[in-house]
Amino acid sequence: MSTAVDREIEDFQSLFGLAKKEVAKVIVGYGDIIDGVIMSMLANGHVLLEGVPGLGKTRLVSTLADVVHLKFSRIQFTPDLMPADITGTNVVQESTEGEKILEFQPGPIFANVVLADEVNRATPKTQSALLEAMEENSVTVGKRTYKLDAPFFVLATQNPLEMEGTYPLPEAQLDRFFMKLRVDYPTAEGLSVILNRTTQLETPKVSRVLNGAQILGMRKTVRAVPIARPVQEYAIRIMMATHPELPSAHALAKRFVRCGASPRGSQAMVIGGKIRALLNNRVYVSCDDIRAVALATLRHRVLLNFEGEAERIDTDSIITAILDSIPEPN
Amino acid sequence: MSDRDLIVGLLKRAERRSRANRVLKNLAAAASISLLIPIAFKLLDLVFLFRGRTVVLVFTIWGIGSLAYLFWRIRGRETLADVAARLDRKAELHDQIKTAYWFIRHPQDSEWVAAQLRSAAHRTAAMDLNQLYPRFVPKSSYVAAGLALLLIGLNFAPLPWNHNWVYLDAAPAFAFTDAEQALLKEAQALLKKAAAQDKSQLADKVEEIAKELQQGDISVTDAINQLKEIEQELDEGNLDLASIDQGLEEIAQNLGQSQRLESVADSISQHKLQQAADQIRRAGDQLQMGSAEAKQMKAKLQEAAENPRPGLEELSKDLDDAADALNAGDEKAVQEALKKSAEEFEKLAQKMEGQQLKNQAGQRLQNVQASLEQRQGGSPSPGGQTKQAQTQSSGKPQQAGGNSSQQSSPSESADATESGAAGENDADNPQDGGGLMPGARVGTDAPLFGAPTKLDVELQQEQLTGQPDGAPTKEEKDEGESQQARSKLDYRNAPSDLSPAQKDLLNQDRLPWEYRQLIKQYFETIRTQPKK
Repeated sequence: MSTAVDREIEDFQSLFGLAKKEVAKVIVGYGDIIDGVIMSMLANGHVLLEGVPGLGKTRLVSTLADVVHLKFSRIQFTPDLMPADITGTNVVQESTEGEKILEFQPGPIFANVVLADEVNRATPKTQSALLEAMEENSVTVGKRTYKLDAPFFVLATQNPLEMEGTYPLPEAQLDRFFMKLRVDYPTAEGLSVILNRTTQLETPKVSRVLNGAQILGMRKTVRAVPIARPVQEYAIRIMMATHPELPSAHALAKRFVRCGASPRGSQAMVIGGKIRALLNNRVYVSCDDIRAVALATLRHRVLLNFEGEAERIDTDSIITAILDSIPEPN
Repeated sequence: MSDRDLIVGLLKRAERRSRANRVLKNLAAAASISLLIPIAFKLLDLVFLFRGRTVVLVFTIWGIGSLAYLFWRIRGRETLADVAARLDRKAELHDQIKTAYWFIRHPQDSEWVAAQLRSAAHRTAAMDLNQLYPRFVPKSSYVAAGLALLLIGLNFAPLPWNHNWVYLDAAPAFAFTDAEQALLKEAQALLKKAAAQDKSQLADKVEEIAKELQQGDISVTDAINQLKEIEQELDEGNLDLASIDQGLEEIAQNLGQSQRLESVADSISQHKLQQAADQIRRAGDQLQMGSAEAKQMKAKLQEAAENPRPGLEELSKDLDDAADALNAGDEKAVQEALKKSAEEFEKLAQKMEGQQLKNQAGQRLQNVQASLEQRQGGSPSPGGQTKQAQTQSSGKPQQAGGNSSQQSSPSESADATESGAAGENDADNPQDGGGLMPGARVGTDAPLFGAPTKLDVELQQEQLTGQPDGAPTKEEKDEGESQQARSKLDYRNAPSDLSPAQKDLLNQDRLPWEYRQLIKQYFETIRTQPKK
């Protein structure tokens, strides 16, 4: 291994490890969730955390914001939240000469790390305010487009759709999330640690271990990891198997899926695979890496049809079946 | 060696090892499966006795099929990409070798790709192929070896009807019975012995016919016909032994009246012609010309030379020459003529011996022929039986031209024909006679010699000497009935037309059915003759 590559990998692993360690000071358990969140950040993607209230989703994101030396903002999504409340708006200002001018007042979206808390409590119209920002890292207000500072990272939390007062995220919105992570209830041991940490005088303090430049550097490292065509095609086959209209679709997909994963899904699998390869001290992506990130990167991109919804089919089960059915390439 | 060479070299080695293991495994599996077929075939052979051609055909098809199956199993060759994927799985390398091989085939100018190749090469250098692809003996090979041993063992199974294919021995197309084989061997031995005199190749012909029949090259009918041809060859140029015997007897009677030639006559009567030759030479040497003995000798020689029988012309001429020389008082000429006579006796002895050998051989061939005809599903041909009867009774068919007493009577010939025809009935009722049944496996029973002789002997009522009141006692009654049931003529004393040599020949045969003709003749003799 060349020194430069070796050093890059070591730096990557080191920084990743530091960030994870700092977050873990506050967040008990959820190692996979923490990994997923940091991976999404390093993949130049956004992450959607789903879980019932009270599981520490918001705390996880705020802790991550504390760990990274970046501008952080939080948007609490409510049914009456308007898009302008997110993006900002032009307000009339009086200049020093006494002239009335329209001046853009940036919204909370103008930050490096944006927490969209309970994103599915806002109406779809408001939710859609995030679309441009998440995809193009820019915000257009009126006739003017404002570029967001890099790195830009949206961490959204949502309650399960079955809960009262929630609006399902639009498909386009969902597709823009790099990963959808499910936050489950902590274990008894984890809960005990949580209680110890949160019911005492001393609260754990986290350090800022990552800055924007480092994150951008790590993103560059991720992109440099090579992937062999067969592995890439493996990811494509998995993605294609979710499309019910294709002959290669899995039987479950044909029956329960309305819309399969978009190309962003395969992109997410490959990028996620590269990060995982680096974390495992490898300079190439393996099929194991693809499989490891497939659930998190595809579950929100596979949309169920009426029958699937009625049968309460979990997209994870469909994706797992697809992973089991598709052989690794030789 | 570059990283690429290291990786590709390992992949090639792994491919070879993998292929060798696969071929071995498939070979053993194919062998264990395909060996079931010849084993089943061998087991069937123990029941149905397959011919050599069938065995060869089945084994050829089996061999081709097995090879095709094996080829089908081992066809195709793993690509190096496949081998790389397999190596990754075996060594849990998370697609490292597979990815490296892909980058080798699709080079990219990237520091990361070079690092990947370097890492993979480093890993391959540390790999132990023996551990990843250990050489092994597949379990199915034990099964195959066991089946092969079973197949060989079946060939060596100590069953009388088992044929050992290992020694390229299969069931013949036609199997002679033990009796037939014995007859054929005897016939060949006799023909070889006779061939020392006439240089004939008949023994080889018989052997060839038997071989061709066993190999299925000729049918049973063909074999029978060819045997008949050989019999005809044997018959051709036969001496009229009966006539010669009669002639010799007459010569012996004439010569026996001469004191000097009495011993010669005795030897001739006893059919010791070689001894007679020596004695007549000695008689010539010891003869004193002009003596009464010489005169008597001249007269008897002249008488003996009169009316020569066929086959004895030369001898008669020599005897006549001797008589003439005695008459002329030429001692040297007498001795010369007697020496010639002695030589003629020797030639005659040889001819007769050869003829007897041929007759014996012909008789055995006829037996074989009759047995084959019977096994073929029919009965011995009437002609064959007639001829057989004639041969049995007179020693040769030509004998009919000799002494009238030795001619086969029309009734006899008719009987023989009848017996041959009756043989068909025998075939319909194979339990009679104890002959070889069609399809019989081993020839423990003798072949039939035609139909059983019908007895039409009328018992002669004998008056019993009993008590005055005429009522016989129980013992007398039993004895009387016993006497009535028993023939008063012993079959050994039955008058026979057979010459002593022929009788001797019959007596030499140990096989019981050889006596049947003699026994038959006995009953023919005691048959009530129709009143003229």
